[in-house]
Amino acid sequence: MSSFINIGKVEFQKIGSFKLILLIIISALITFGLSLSFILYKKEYLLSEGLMEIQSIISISAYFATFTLAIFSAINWYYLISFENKNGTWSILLTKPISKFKLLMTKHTLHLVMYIAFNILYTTASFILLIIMNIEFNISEFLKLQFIFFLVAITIPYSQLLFHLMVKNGLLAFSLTIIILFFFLIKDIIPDIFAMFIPLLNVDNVWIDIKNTRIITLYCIESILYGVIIFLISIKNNYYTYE
Amino acid sequence: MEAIITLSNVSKSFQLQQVVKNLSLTIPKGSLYGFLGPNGAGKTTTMRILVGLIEADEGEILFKGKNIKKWRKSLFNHVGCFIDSPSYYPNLTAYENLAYIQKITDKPLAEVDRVLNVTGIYYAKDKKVKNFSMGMKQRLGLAFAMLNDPDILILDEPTNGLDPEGIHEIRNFLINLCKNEGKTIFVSSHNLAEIEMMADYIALINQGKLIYDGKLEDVLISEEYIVKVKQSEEVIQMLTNSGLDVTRLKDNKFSFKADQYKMAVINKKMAEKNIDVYELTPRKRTLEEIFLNLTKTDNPLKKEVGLYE
Repeated sequence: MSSFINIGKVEFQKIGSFKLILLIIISALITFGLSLSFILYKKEYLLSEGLMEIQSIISISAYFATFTLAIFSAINWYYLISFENKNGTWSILLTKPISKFKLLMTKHTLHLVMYIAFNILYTTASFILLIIMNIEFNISEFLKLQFIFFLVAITIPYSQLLFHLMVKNGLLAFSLTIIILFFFLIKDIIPDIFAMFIPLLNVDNVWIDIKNTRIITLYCIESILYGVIIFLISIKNNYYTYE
Repeated sequence: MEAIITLSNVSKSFQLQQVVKNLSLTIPKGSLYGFLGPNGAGKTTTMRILVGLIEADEGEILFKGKNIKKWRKSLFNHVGCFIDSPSYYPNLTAYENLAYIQKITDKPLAEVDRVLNVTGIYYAKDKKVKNFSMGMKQRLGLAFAMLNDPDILILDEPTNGLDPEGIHEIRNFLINLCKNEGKTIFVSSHNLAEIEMMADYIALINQGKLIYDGKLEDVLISEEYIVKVKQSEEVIQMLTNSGLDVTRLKDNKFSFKADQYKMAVINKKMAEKNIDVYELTPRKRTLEEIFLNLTKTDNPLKKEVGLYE
C-alpha cells in the first residue's frame, strides 16, 4: 500500500502538481462562470417557467460541467497516458521491475483523485451559485444531486480515455473531445430511447427522471460499469506493449 | 560457454508480414555481443521481444535458464535496456528522471548518483533533460539502463546521433563494463566499424532471418592468404601447378585461397625449395565487407563462412 501511495505521489510530481491543481481550479471556475452567465441571461425565462429551483439550476450547471469535464479529462489523460507514449517512456517503465497493473492502477487512482477534487470544487461552485441566485434549498437534496452527478459523469473521463487508447496519440485524442461535445449537442435530435442507452449521455439524461429513484440507480450503476469496463480494456490494451 | 540469454525459434509477425523468422541465438555470459542487420531486418523487434515489450508468436526465450514469460518481474531486476531513441521526461532534471524510476520500483536513491557518475553526466544532474545535447541524452538512456547494476545490458543503437568523440567514449565505456565488470552487453548498431572494434560475438540478421552468429574473429578471418617472396615467379608457378587460383598484387605480392591444411603443405614446399618468404598473412576482411556481401540475396560468402541458408 505504501509503495502504491509512493508511486501516486511521484506520478503527481512528475506531471507537475501545480499544473494539475491549476487545471482543476480553472475547470471549476469556467463551469461556474458559464452557468452563472447562462442563468443571468435566461433569468426572466427561468422565473416565468418556474425553473428557478434547485434541480433546474443544478442540471444547468451540470450541462456546462460536462463540457469543462470533457476538456479537463482530455488534458488529464494526456498527461497520465499519452504523455508516456509521446516521450517513449513506456519502454522504460515496462522494462523495470514493476507490474503493469500496479502502474496503471496508480494512474487511474490519480485520475480519480483529480476527478474527486474537480467535483469538490464544482460542488462548492454550485453551492455558491444557488446562494447568489437566492434559491432556497435543502442541503441533503443538494448533496444528493451532486453525488448523482459525480457517479454518472464518470462516463465522460472514461470515454475520453477510450479515445486515447483508440487513436494512440494524445493530441489527436484531445481534439476528439469534440466528439463528446458533439454527442451532447445532437442529443436533442436523437430519439430518447436511443439516447438513454448511450452511457456518455447519462450525465444529461439523468435529470429527466430525477424523481425516479430506480431509474437513477440504474443510470449510476450503468455509468460505473462503463468506467470499470474501459478501465479493464486499458489494462489489457496493447497500447502499452508496442505491438 | 555459459549462456545468459537463449532464444529458440522465435518468430514474430505484424499483420501479414513476418518480421522475425525462427530466430535462435545464444548470448554467452560476459560477452559483448553485436547484433547487426540492415534497416528493417528485425533487430529492434527482436530486442523488444527480448525485453518483453512485445510477445513472440512462437519460440521460447530463456534468461539464465528461466522462461522470461514466467519470470518477467525478476528478469527486470537483472536486465537494463535502452530500446529505440533514449526516452525521458523532458521537463524533469536528469536526477529527477532517474529518481522517478527508483521511487516507483522502491529502490535506493543513492543509485542515481552512481549511474550519473558512471555515465559522466553527474555535472548536469540538475539540468532539465529538454536542454540536453544528443550525446547527453544517449548517456542518460544508458544511465536508465544501468540503474540497479543489471547483469546484462540490451542496447539498441546506443551511439545513434553521436559525434565521433561521443562514439569513442561510449565504445570504451561499454568495453570497460564488459571486460572489467563482467557485464554482458547485447548491442545493435549500424556502425559496423564500431562493432568490429568492440564485439566478441556477432549475429547478423537479414529480413528477419539469422544469417550468421558466432565469434567475430571466426568470420573476419578468410581462407585467403597474401604472400610476398623473393622468388615470386617460381612460387606462382608452383601454386598454379597445384591447381590454385593466384591473383597478382602490387609490390611483388600475390594472393590465393587455400584452407589451413593446404597452406601448411605449401609452406613446407617453400621451405624445401629455400624460398625467401617476406610475408605470409591470412587476409582479414572487414565487417563492412562481410555485412555487405551477406545481406546481398545471392552471395558466395554465405557458403564460405558456413552461414545459414
